[in-house]
Amino acid sequence: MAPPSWRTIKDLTPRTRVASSCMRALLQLSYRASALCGALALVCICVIITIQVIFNTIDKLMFLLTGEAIGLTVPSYSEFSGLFLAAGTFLALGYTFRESAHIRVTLLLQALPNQWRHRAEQLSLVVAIAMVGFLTWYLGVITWEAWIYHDVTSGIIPVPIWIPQLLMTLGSGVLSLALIDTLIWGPQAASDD
Amino acid sequence: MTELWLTLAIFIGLIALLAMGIWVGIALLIVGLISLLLFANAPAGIVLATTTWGTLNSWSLAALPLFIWMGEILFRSRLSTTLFSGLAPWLGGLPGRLLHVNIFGSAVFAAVSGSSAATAATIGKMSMPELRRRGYPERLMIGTLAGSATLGLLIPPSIILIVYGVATDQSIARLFIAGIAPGALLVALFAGYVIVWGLLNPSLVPREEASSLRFKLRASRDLLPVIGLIVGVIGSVYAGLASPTDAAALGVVLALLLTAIQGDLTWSVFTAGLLGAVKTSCMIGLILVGAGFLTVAMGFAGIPRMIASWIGELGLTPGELLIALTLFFVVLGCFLDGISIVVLTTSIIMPMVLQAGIDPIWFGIYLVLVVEMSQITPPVGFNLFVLQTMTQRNILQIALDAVPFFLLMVFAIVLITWMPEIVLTLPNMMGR
Repeated sequence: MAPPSWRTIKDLTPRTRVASSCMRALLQLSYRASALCGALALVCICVIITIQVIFNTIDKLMFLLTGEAIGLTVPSYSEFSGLFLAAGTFLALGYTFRESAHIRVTLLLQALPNQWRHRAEQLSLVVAIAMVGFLTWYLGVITWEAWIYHDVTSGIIPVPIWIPQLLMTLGSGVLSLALIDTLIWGPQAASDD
Repeated sequence: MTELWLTLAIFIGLIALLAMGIWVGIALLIVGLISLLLFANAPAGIVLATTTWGTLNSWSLAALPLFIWMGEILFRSRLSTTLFSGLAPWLGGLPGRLLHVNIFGSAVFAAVSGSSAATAATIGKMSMPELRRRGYPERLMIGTLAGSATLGLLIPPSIILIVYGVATDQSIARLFIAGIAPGALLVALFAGYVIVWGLLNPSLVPREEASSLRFKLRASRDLLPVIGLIVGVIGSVYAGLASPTDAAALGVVLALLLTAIQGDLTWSVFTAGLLGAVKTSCMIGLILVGAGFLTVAMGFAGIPRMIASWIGELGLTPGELLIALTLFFVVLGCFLDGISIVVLTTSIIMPMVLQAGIDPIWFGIYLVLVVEMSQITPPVGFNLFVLQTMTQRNILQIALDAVPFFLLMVFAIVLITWMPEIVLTLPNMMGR
């Protein structure tokens, strides 16, 4: 099935074609880079918790052997896991969308004739762009407030909250970008490279 | 009555958005935003952003991507190819013989993957050709697979129970433990049905050669470590040694070690597993954000309180409420996947359930059972679609083959409703 984007790209003048393929590369880069950060966040969560579990076990063993625990622990490990989770999940949103991994009900869409299905898809995308755009804006607002008021997490190691919130805002922005990309060039432009 | 109309309008709006093909998480956000703007006097954007942040910035939710990752690793290990050969020698002696591989194979794989569609696809891919070659009756092959694949939703570590636990603020450890007995009950019911069928129709079951214990052990040497891993992970949660999140992280590390020792861990297997886990958990994360926001928005609009008092005035007994809810879920299961159903429930139906005095842990297990059932309800259900693609048979025929297992699930639901102790005894013994 040839993606509709091919036809449009072929019709362009050579100059705009170069510009368009540059933009495609940039978009792909942003999806992949942010997904990579999301994957790194998951690895970090796993590593932090594993170290904590090992420390905990050593501590218990020491207690059994010497009657005294050393108090080995990864400081604020549960807070860090939460921060990595929030930032990582949002960073991967755009990539997940382009890989069509977000759940939707397609039963009705599939029943529509082709032309109407295309229109319904476009409408869904427009509605989704409005919603995600709104979310991105307000994530930006709370990030800005956290920055101004120097909000930090309440654990042993205080982390400025604007850092993970900024990453979430970025992730939400990448999702908006992915939605707009799909609205303009269709879902399959991703496989063009 | 306005509260009822409000809830109904919200619900219909949600269904309309979903039917349009809006992504589930985003549809929940939109409905939440509209309810907040219409019925409450709160800064909608700020509430939206802080709820989003609050939902995902969670220690217990971190168990979700980790368990999914563990599943993705084991999914790509030797497990899925050796499941049939590892289980077959043990089950060949039971009446009904290798049909039991579908049931026990699903139970093992379910514990790993937590997804019924993935379980049906993986087990079916191995067992269908083998069983067909040996001449087992097609109808039972499909029926056992359709029924057992749904075990993935219940047997811990169950992804759907984590979602329910996070969305309703219940202890995930308790939910996991509560799922053990009903899961075992279902396996026993399914296996019992196949045994009775095998005793009644011995001529239809092909003969299998008996094998020695040594042969059995050798055949399942790749399988036993995986079963050990799962039992260890769940056992450490049950014994109170580890929280579900701790156990999940250890599960990932051990699964990586296991595949490395078996020589299956390449860089591409590692990255494919990691990216798969990121995608799935990101998808569920967005849905949870939507559900969290919708719940908060309904709270601002005072809807849970109104529904609760409405249910109180109506004087519905818990039994009547449950029957109504069961029918409702079965209908939803025709076009929605399990996780979406659970998430919708937690925002809209949980207040009713609490008002009726139903235990939320018990309700979680009940909900998962009903959702399982809805996946194989004729004429449409998610698992039936998976099996249809796999076997190239008519979906109605598949649904018909699954009917005995559907009825067994109904029986299991009646049982746990009649005797809630089946669900609640184990978690109550945890004492935490």
